[in-house]
Amino acid sequence: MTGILSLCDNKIVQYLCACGKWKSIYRLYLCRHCYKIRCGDCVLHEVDSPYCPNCLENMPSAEAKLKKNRCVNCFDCPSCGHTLTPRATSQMVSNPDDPGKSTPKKMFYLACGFCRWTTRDGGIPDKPTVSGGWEDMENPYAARLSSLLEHYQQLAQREKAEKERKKYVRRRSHLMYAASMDKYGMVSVAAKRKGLMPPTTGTLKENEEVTVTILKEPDTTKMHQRMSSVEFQPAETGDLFPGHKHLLIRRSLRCKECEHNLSKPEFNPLSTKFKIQLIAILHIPEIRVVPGAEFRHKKDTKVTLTFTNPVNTNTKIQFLQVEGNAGEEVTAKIDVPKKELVLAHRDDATMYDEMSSQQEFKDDSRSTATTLPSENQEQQTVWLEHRINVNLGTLLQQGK
Amino acid sequence: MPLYEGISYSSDKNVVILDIGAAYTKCGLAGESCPRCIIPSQLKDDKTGQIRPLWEFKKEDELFENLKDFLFQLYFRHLLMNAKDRRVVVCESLLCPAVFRETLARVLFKHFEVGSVMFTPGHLTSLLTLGVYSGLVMDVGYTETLLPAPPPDVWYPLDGDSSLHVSGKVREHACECPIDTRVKLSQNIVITGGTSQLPGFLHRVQLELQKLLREPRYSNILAVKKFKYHVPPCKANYTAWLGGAMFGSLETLPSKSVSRDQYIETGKISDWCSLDTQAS
Repeated sequence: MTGILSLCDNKIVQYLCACGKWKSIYRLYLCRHCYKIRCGDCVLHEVDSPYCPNCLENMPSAEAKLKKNRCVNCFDCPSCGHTLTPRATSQMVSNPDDPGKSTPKKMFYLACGFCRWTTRDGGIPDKPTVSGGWEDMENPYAARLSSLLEHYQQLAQREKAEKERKKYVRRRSHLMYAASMDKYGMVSVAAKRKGLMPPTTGTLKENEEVTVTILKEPDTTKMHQRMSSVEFQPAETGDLFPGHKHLLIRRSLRCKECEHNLSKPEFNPLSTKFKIQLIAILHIPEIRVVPGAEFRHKKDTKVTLTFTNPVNTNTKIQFLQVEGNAGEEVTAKIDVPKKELVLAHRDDATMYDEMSSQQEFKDDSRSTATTLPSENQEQQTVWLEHRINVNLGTLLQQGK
Repeated sequence: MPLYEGISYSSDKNVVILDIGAAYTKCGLAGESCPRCIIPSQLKDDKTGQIRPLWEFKKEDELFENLKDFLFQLYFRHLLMNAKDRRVVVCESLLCPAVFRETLARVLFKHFEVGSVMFTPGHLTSLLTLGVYSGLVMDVGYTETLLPAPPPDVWYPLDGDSSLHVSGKVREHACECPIDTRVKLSQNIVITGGTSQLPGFLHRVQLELQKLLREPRYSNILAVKKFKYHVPPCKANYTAWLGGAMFGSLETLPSKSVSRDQYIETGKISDWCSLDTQAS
């Protein structure tokens, strides 16, 4: 799927981010407070809010963690991962008042619209209510695990208490020293007496007899189907059961240096707008190369670039001659224009007007630096410096 | 009780437990009974659609970028939590290459700015899940070799002793152990790892061990008569993770981890030493 971004983001014009990487303008952010360009790699990503992709319900983070980041109402098909929809059938159920007759009752089951899996394939009985009743399977080892965990907590507490004590007790008496050496295994014996040994498994098996009766080829599940239910990992397709849908998050970005937000989405998961959206393309002129320039070896060529001003005030652009630093490729000698460029402010009305005036500049630039004023209320002018890398293509073959 | 799942007595909540295996990565939070996700240890390139295994790298920078993208996905798509200032426990194999460890530490500390990292040997934590203090842990994982028919690598780390590395179907068992530990170890065998979940695998291992025991070269040397196997309270492919989760929920975690300040000061992670979590 090629969107507009993949058409524009062809890495011809790249800006240098503050962390040292070259990125195109569509992937950069501008920090308003420290006036530096930031990219996705040097910015701090934070979880803003989890939401369910199906029912689009925002869930508070604490609740999400409790529910293991799963939606309460929505289910995923264990076979393909698509969302399950509840479907209704009517079953003839015997009327409790009148034993002779049977009345139709609505029963619900979950079905997948994509791969046609239903809860009936998993052997799960239908439920009388639309939303409720789909039980979660419980881990068979839960009790054993919790007792083990409790035991370790106690040990850890003990160890921590001992450590605190050790800080204050500098010299150990001779007796204590011998005990800690544990030459004859006395400590573990004493611990056993105190009941400090962990609850052992008690399920030591000597022989595991595997009786594999192969009457028919079992339908085995694929790995991704198995891993979608981590605790049970059903090996056969008949054991698959629906899991709750996993939530997604909205991310907010923060500048690592000044801790200000660069991007903050709105609360409503459906909305595509942002509360804070400090992306570079809204603040820095976008540069595009007009195609058609042909480059011949050791001959001057004119290159036309288009600058688009995104802000509501007039922008001045100065070109500075730049020496290539280590690691940057400067493969052409560039003559930059000496005059300052003035770009008219962005006027949304004239964008759709065909009779707009245009300004064209002819210059040769390989690596330029541009500056731009900010649009604060106090009409403060801020000059920003950028290093820009423009890839103008390859030389024409000789002999033409 | 699903409502109280994941109670940790330590003051930090949200300790992340990571087990990056050769084929699958298990990831989740401390104190829980199973990982939140088990995903393949690979990255999908969005533009080309190509799948790159995480362990396939030629230079350290490539591994850095791979790990960065992979951990990004783990944190923001599966765990749904911030990485900054949270503690991490990494279960790893003892034979993990140092470059992987160091790069992982660098990614975690420098890029994600986690609070502290603790590297634990995966085999040790497997024993944690059982409550035994010593045992022979056989981790049957997935590691490709350069042979035309790649057999799975099988590791036999012995609690505190040397570890054997065997490939192939023959398990050369316990000959190199000190004689005192042999009997105890043979009575406490734990088999973990995803490949051991193949139907009939355990049965085959038992048959082979019994057969080998009857052969003269072993029956003369070994005093071992029979083998006993432990059954861990979880599926074999995340036993190490579970041990790490248990350890991560303890109060003593901060004292055994490398904190971010320590890492920035020293700039390196100390190599593994036998961490006895049970102090006695």
